[in-house]
Amino acid sequence: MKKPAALSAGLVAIKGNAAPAHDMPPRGAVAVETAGLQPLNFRVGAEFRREFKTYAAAHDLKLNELLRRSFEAYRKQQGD
Amino acid sequence: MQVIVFASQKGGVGKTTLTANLGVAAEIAGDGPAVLIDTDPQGSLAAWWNAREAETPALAPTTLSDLPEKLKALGEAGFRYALVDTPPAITDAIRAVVRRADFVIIPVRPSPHDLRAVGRTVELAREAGKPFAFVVTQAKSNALLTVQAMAALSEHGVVSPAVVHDRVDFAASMTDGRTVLETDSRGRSASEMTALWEFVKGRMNESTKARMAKVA
Repeated sequence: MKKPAALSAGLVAIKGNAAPAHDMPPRGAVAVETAGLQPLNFRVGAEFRREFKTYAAAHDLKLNELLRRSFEAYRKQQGD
Repeated sequence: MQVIVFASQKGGVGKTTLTANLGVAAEIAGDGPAVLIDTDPQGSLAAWWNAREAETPALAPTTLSDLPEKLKALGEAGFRYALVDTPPAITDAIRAVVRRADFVIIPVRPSPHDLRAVGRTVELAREAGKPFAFVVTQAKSNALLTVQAMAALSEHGVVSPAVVHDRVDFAASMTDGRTVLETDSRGRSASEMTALWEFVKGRMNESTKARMAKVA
């Protein structure tokens, strides 16, 4: 049998006043860390471009993050 | 008070829908009082609650920095379950919320993209040392993909046998602050939510027993 909760002022919301936690970082805030980044331009084949972008999207990675991780993995593989 | 956190790096998997529905399911099952907490800046859970006529489950406003104190106060006030909705991301702020969990629910759609992305959410629960379970959401009826998804997920953790299917009544019921348990209490969607709540409750009890046994 459930018992009523004892409530103090401000513990729970009243109708119309409920709001989410205001100090949670906004959605997407983490991904938008562009300060200090430099452009890197080069051409790739259409097939590679499609596969690279599809893979990044499927794994929720930014393109630059996938490139960075790939480079790291390659260097590790080469023993550099 | 036991704290259930709904987490997933992917958006649109049903975190808010499950938070609201399981809060109501807990109350209907006589397991209340339950309280909801909305940490998603989008504020969908709070908006749903504001539109809701019924007073239960309650919703507790909080900030992230006040969350530990708030949970303590809610427990002392007699709430038995707190259900916490989070935004779709993997951030230190969400890690802090997960650290307060007694149980983490990870909703996953049965799609290859969702399955590939689930690893980081699992890491989130594992690094915090929290018990977790997957809940397959938005499943299509009789889809082989659902069975395959459950098999794939079961290699990484417990999967709820209660699957949530893709039906419009989940969204439709929430437009005026209700849930499927209230718009069609005998419907299939309501049955799924009732079964899911029983599963979650059972898993939490098992986790608590295991913890107690470890302490003893």
